Amino acid sequence: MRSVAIIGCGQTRHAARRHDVSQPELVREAVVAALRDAELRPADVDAVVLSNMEMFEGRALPELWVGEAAGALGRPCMKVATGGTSGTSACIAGFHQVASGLFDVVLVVGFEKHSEGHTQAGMSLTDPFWDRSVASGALGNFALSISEYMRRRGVTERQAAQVAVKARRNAAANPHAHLQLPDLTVDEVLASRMLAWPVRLLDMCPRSDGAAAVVVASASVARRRCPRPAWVRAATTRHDRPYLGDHDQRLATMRTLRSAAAEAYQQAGITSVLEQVDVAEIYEPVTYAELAFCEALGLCGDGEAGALIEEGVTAMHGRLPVNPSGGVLSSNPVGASGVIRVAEAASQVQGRAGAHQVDGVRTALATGYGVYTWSDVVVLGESP
Amino acid sequence: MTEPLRTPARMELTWRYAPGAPMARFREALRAGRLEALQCTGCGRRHLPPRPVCGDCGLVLERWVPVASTGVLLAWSVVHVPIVDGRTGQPREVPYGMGLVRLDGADCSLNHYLATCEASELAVGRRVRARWRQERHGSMDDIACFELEETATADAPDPTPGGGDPRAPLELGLDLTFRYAAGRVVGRILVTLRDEGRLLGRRCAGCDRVACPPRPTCARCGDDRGVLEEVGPVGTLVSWTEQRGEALGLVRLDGADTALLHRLLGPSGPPRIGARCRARFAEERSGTVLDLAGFEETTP
Repeated sequence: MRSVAIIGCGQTRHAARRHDVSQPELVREAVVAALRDAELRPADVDAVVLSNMEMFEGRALPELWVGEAAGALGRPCMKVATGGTSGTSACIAGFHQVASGLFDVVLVVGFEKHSEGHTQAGMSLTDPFWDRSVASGALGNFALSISEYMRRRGVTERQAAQVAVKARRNAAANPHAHLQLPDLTVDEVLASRMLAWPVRLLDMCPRSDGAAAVVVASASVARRRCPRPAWVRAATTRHDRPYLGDHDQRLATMRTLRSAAAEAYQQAGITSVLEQVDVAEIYEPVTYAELAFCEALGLCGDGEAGALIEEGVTAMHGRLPVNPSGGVLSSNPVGASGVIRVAEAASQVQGRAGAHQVDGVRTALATGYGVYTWSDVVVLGESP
Repeated sequence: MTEPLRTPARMELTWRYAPGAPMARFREALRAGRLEALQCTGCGRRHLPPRPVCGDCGLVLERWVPVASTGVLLAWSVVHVPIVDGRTGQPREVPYGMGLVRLDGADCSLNHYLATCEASELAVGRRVRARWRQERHGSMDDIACFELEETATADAPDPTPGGGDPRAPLELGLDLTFRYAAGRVVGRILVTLRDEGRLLGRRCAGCDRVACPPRPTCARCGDDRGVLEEVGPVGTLVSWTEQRGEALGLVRLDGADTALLHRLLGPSGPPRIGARCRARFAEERSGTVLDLAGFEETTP
């Protein structure tokens, strides 16, 4: 397998409503930014991989209508869809296409325009026989898992609120982020409206319109075209049983994420995450998930995530900053969110993250999460 | 700055889902007020909901085992947000309690409603019991909810099966309204059509092709730059078809290099490919493509 690197990233301004642009125009915004960042022309792209959801845009085959805006005309073009993991899975598909020697330059594009679709209806179209009568969207799924997780690991509502504050304050330094709340306090989070016990409004990610793109290149292209590529050191993905009740302690165990991380760390030669990883972009649709995922990823032991956030280990200037971009809690165009995690991790390695750049990043971690049934882990580094 | 143009669309969707043999048997038991699980002969796991294959072992599941209507609460929440019901598209009444129930005799848990939405009454580990409906039709809704065992009042279900064919497809649907942002390019074209009754195409600055309908990125050369210019209102019929008594045609408007799909109007016999047609604009215009009523053949 050939070495693979990311040599360019682009994002839109993510917002609750981008009524100023159509779906193809939204996609184009990210694509143009990524190609400009990589200093490539559209003609330099060999293939395009798209990521997005059905129903969330209110149209069938959303990929059909944005392909030409993504620069896919006359080129191989496919969509990858694995729920929230779609974006990271699309990136991994792009890595595989370049690593295999099939293509030298692959453009990966994720997008979502929630303001035009019916996200809740889409999320409610679960198994028609078994759980459609009770399915309560991402929120209900999380709320149930969280009650188990809190009891098992002793995490408190206040600790979760600290995650919410960290995310929205970090987002204030990220010009792409949707929710920028530089002055948010823990008390304000705890006073926000209860959505589904114990998840409050400010514990939950927003619904955003947005798109993101990364340029994936072979080693020869990367060395020739990019002064500091973000090399793909590991990329793993896992699938699991589909139903909410198929596992006990789903959030506490997160066996997809633990299994994907174990393999990724082995590929990348990581034995101590805190020692060897400099920044992480974790896909956390809800505050409690970040705590659970920090445990699953080995940033701390099981039951220690509460202390991790209290001690500021994952804060912007902590030992291992988690989500300097503000994370999914600050911007969530679902089909793009995984691409954003990878793009943010790549920009950190490239030293091009701007006002939310972490000092001296040599290794970065990005993850994807898809309705408990998928987890993706990507490790990027300064060398192949 | 004017408000960006957004186009509404309403969709009534209906689906019919085939249950498959395992789910048909499960529905039959539901009608009789019973629950059953499928046990894997390899790992012994008792699966709910019924499914054709054990994901862990890859073995086909065929052994049915009984599951009790009682169990233990593994997780719970009280939902305060009116989440859309996927069976109707309408928001549910809130608040409601929901839980993951590990039924006695199963190795998976069931996601269902709880009788109470009082957080103080709910705790992980509490024993619960299904409250069956007296009228049952072979759906998960045959269980109304789960109630705390110590205060449960529901009677045992009458085992007489209810109505409905457990093997019949399940019909569910949604009625949804969408609003799409037309964007910078299409938005300007629709506003011009609405306010001035004129059709615009987009001349690509890269390859000089004029596209109508126009798009923000040239479909031939991928260039983003372009200028809008008037096309039509007369054009040439490239192709046509008839669907449910309505004639549809692809019309290449004079000045454009691509063809626009729209209605063909008028009583004048079957359309002829190559015929000249003229755009007819709607009297009342609202900023959608139907502000162009369609095309009618010009008299030779």
